[in-house]
Amino acid sequence: MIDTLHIYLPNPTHQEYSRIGSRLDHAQIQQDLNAQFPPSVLGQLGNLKVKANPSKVSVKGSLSKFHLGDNLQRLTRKGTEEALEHLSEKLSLPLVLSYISRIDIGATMVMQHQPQEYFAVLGEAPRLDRTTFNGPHGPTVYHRNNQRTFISYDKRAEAMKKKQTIVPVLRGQNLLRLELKLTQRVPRQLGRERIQAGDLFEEEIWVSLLKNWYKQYRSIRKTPSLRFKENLTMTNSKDLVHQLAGLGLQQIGGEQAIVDLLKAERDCGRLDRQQFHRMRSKIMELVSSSPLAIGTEEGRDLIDELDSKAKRVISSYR
Amino acid sequence: MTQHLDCYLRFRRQPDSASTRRDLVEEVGAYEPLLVPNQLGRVFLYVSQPVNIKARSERRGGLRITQQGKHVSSLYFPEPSRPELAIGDVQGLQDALLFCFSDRMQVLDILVSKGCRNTLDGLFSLLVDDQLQDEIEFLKAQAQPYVPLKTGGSEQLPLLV
Repeated sequence: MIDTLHIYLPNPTHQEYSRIGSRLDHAQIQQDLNAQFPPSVLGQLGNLKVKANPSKVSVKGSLSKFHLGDNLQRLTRKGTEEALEHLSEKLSLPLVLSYISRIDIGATMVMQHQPQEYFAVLGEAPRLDRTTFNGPHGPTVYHRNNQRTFISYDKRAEAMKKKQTIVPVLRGQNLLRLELKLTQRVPRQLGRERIQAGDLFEEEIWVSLLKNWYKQYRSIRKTPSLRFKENLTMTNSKDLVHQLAGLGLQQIGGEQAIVDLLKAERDCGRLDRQQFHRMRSKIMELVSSSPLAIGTEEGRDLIDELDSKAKRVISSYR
Repeated sequence: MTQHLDCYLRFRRQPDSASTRRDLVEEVGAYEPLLVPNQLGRVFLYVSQPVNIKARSERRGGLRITQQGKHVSSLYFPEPSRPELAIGDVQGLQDALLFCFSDRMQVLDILVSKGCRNTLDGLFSLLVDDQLQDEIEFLKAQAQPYVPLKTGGSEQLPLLV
């Protein structure tokens, strides 16, 4: 589950600081001519970036890749403990005492369809901004604010682009990666005053990380593409307006397309925040409460599959 | 075709045995951690409730298996719509175990994927989506009836396969 981790160890001893350069690959010295402090040491340890100066040592990178070789495999609670021990041993630093400034929790799920089909059903989430980015390895859906980001992307395409080896079990499968990145105020987001790397393998913290991931996933509205019930009977003018509005939505390309359109209007300054929120709420209300529009069966199947597999991720942990 | 499974073991409840006991009747791949015989050379395990396991409910399995008085694995049932399928692992090993119950829980098939403990979720998805069916059939076709090393005492009756 744990992928990227940013940790820092404040006030290393002189001994710890002085021998760190010898433990890194491609170690470089960075000297700030204006500062009176000793220089910083920059270097890499496998896939991890390490920076050390007399006031702190910081380590950034994927713990899963460092310990298991890739982040397709699940780094369990015990595995995280072993990975940190492994890292501490390599750097000769007590990293269990280091503080966490960023943590990514991710799960790779084997799906029945191409990941792109699932992106279409991932709608808006409260207090998160949804954007789609068409990168070199296909589209990626971001739900983000200034504290966290929830990312959904095609893991197989990414691995192939980066020429990573895919473990035999997952080779040739449709791999959907759902990742939650806690980028700011990590302790507060986990309901703690401070959080150290050694706390990660405490059951309470581990469960809270999993629950955060699932909560974020659940907060995303799932919007199946729309179709209309057969044998519609319009008994009043309100039904007629609902039906016409639904047809309009379908014509534009569904809920997400119109929300994206409104976002563009907002970003251009033609709509203010309040107008945008009111219009978005109206669209959501129209989609969810309309007695005329129902999701297609395929769309429902995709959502059911996503929901059940996401639930499976947190159903048991080790 | 990528091979995911390495070993297959079938345990079945025998007449007049304890309701929780399942005896090994067929196997292929010789998975040693689950082939611990008793003094008479018979291999069996007990499937029971995970009592005495001090773990939070999220971490406690739905069932557990023990062999020769030792805990082997907890059984987790991740998919509510497929209550006959479970996952587990053996402490200290990197192998993934898939459990398939059938015949009203009387038969327990165990499929082993060596070194796949960290991709157990993916493996389970393949099982649920019936993508391992051909491999399972292939292993079942290769399975040999298990013959106890020694016979004697009250356990000399042939095993019901």
